[in-house]
Amino acid sequence: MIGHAPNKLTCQCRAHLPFGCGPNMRFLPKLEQLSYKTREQFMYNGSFHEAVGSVLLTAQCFALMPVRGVTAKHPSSLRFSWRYVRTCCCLLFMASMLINLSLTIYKVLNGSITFNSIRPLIFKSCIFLVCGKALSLARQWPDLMMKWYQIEQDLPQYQTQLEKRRMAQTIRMVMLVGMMLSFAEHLLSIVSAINYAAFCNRTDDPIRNFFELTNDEIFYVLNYSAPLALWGKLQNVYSTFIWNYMDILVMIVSIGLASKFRQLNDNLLKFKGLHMAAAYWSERRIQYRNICTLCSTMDDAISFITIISFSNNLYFICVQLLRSLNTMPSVAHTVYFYFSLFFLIGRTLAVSLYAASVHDESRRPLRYLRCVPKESWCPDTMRFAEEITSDMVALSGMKFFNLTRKLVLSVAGTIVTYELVLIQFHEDQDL
Amino acid sequence: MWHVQISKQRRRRQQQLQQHGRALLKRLERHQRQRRRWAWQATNMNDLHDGSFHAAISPVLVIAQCFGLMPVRGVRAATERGLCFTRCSWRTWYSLLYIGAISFDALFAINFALHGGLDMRSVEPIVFNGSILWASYQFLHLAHQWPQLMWRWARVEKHLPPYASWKEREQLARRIHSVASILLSLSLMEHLLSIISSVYHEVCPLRQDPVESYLYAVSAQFFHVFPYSNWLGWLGKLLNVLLTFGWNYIDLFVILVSIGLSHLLTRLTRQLQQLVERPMPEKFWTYVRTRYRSIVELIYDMDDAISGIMFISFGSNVYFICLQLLKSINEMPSTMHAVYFYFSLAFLIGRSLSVLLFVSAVHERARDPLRLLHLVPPSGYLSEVQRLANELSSDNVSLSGLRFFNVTRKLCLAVAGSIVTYELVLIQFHEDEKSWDCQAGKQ
Repeated sequence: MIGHAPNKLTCQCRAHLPFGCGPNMRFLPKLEQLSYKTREQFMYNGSFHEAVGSVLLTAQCFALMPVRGVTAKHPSSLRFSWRYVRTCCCLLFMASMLINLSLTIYKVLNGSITFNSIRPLIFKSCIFLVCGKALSLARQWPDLMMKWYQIEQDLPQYQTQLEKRRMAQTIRMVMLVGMMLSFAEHLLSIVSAINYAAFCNRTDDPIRNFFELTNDEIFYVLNYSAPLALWGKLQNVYSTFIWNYMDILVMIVSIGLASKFRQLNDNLLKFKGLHMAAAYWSERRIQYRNICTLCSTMDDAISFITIISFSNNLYFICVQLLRSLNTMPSVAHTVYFYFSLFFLIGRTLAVSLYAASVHDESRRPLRYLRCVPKESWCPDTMRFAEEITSDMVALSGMKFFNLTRKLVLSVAGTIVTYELVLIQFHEDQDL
Repeated sequence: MWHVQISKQRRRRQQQLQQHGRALLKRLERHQRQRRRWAWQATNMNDLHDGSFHAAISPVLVIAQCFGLMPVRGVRAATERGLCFTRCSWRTWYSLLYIGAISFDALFAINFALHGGLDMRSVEPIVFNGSILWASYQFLHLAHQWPQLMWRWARVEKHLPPYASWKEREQLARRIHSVASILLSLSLMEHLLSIISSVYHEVCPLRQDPVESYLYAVSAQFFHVFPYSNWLGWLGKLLNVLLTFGWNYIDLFVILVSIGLSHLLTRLTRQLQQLVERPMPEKFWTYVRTRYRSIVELIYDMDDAISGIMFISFGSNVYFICLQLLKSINEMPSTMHAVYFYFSLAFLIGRSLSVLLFVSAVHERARDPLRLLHLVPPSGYLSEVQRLANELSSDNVSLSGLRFFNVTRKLCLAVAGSIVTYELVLIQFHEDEKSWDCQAGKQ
C-alpha cells in the first residue's frame, strides 16, 4: 500500500502538466524535485540493515547501541565514534546506572539475603552488563552490517516486494508488540504501586509515598528530594526498556538469520527433485556456508546478551511463580502480577522459539538434498549434505547451550524442578 | 458507426464464450458428482481390505464423526479420491457445535475451580476440558488437510512393492481394527465402571434419587451456577460421554497413524530382506532409495499435521498419571470404588505406554533398513547403496510433539523418571482427602 501511494502522486503531477505548465517543459525537473519522496525510497531491498533501522533508532532513544546512520539506505554510512553525542549519552546513562547499582547493593547487603530479596540486584546488574555489551556491539556493528550486506547481495534474490518485505514486517511486528506489552506492564506496575502507596501511607504527600516505594534504594541512604525522585523514576523507565530490549534484540537477530536461511531454502524448494547442474549446487553450498559463517559471527557478537537474557528470564520466572503463592493485597496487584507473569513467560517462550527457528531453518536444505535425483548427485551435493549433517548451526549462550526447540522443554523441566524445591522453603510474605 | 458495430460484435462474442464456459463447468460438475457417487457405490461392492490406509482407518473415522471429531466427507468412499472437506456440511457444523459446547463447559469448569482453592487436584477438570478443546480444534484443522494427506499417502502406497498374498493385504486393516476395538471397548468398560461405582455405592448422597444424585455430581460445574434440573443433568452427562470419548480418541488416533506409517516402512523392509544378500543392479537401489525417501517425506508431512495432537496426548497423559498416582494414596470408601480406581489407573498407564511404544515403532522401523544394508555383498555395494546408508545413519526419522521432543523408546524412561520425581515432591504436600467423610468434603 505504502509503496504505491507516492507513485500515484508523481503520476498525477505529470498528468496535470499540460494544463498547468502548457508546452513549457522546463518545469518538469522542478516538479520532480518537488515530489521529494520517490518510489525508490519506498522500495525494499530486503536487507537486514534496512529492516532493523527503526528498531535501532528506538533503542538509541533509550541510550543503547549508539551508532550513527542506522536509517541510511546503505550500511557503509554506519559510523561509531566515542565523540558522538549518542555515545556520550550512553556513557552517562551507564555511570548513573552504576551509582544506582551501588546504592542497591548497599541496601541488599544491609538486609537479609534470600532468593527473593536479591531481585533488584540481579535486575540492575544484568541491565548494566547488557548496556556495556551493547556499547561494544555498537563498535562492531558497522563491520557486522557490511559483512551481512555482502552476504545478502550474493544470495538468490526474491522477485516480489511482498517477499522482500516479509522479514522487515516480522521484525517491526515483534518490536511493536514487545514494546506495547512492556509499556502496558510498566503502566500496570505504576498503578499497583500507587495503590499500594495509598494503602500504607508513611507521609501525607502521595507523590512522595509513591517515589519512596519505587526507589527505596535511593531513599534508604539519602533524604527525599524531588530531583532525586525524578532521577530514580527515569532510571526505572530506562531499565525496564532495556530489560525488554535485550530479549527483543536476540529475537530480531534470530529472525534475520532464519529469514536468510529461508531465502536460500525457498530457492532450493523451487528446484526440488529436478536435474540441476553441479555449478548450481556448488553455488548454493557456498551461499549456505556464508550464512553459517555469518551465524557464528553474530553468535560471537550477541551470545553474551543471549546468556544474560536466558538466565535472567529463568530467574524471574522462578521468582514470580514462587510469589504467586502469596496472597495479593488488592485487585490492582493481582491484575499486575498475573499480567507480568504471563508476559514474562510469553516473552521467554518467544525468544526461545525464534532463536530455535535459526537451527530449524538451517537443517531444512537436507530434506531437499535427499530428493536430488541420481543423475545429478555429484561430489558437491554430497559435500553439502555432509556439511549440514555434521554441523551444528544455531545461536548459543556463550557456547554453554545451543538454542534449539529441545531446549524449551528442558528449561521448562528445570523451572518445575526448582520450583518444587523452592516451594518447600517458602513462607508467605504479607506485602 | 463502425466502432459501435465492432463493440456489438465483441459483446455478442463474449456472451457466446460465457455460455460455452458455463456449459463446460456444468458438465465438469456433473462428471465429478458422478465420479464421487461411483466411488461411494464401490464401497458396498468391494471388500474393505484393499490394503490401503484410507480404507483401513475409515470405520474409526466414522465412529469419530459420530462424536463430532474429524468432519471430513467421504471417509467411507472406496478410494481416497472421494474425500473432501467443505465448510458447509452438517459434519463441520456438528463439529463446531461440539467445540462450542466444550468451550462453554470449560468456562463453567474454570468458574467452579476458581471458587475452590487452586491446586494440583482442583485444576483437573480445567486440564481435561482444555486439552480436549484444543485437540478438537486441531482435529478440525486436520480434517481440512486430510484429503491432501491421504492422496499423498495413496501415492506412496501405490509405488511400494505389491503384496504377496491376501493375508498380507489384510494385515494393516486387521491390526488397526483390533487395536481400535480393544482400546474403545476398554474405555467403554472404564466409563461404565465409573458409573456403577458412583451410582450403586453412593457415599454422600447429594439428592434423594441415586440417579439424580449421580447426575448432580457429574455436572457439578453447572449446578454451581444454576438450580438443579433433570434435563441439564442429562445434558451434562451427554457432554461428559462426548468428552471421555474425545479423550480416548486422541491417543487412539495417534496410535493408528503411527501403525499406518510403520506398516509402510515394514513393506519396504520386507522386500529388501529377500533381495539384500544378492548383488542387485543400481536401478534397484535407486528404486529403494526413492521409495524410502517418499515414505520419509510422508512421515514429515504427517508429523507437521498431527504433532499438535501428539503434544496434547503426551502432556495430558503425564498430568493424569501424576494425578491418579497421587490419589492412590487416599483410602477407598468401598471395594467397588477400589476396583474402578485401580482399573482406571492401569488403563491409563497401559494406554500411555502403548501410545509411546506404537509411536516410537516408527523410528525403529525407519532404522531397520540400515541393518540390512550391512549385509550387501561387496560386489553389489554401489554408490547408491552408500548414499542410502549415509542418509539412514544421519537422519533422525520420528514423529514428534510439536518438534519439542522426538518420540523414541528413550523417551519412555525419561518420562517415567520425571513422573517419579514430581510424584515424590507432590506426595510431601499431599493431605489425605477423605472422600467418604461427607462433612469434611462440605466444609
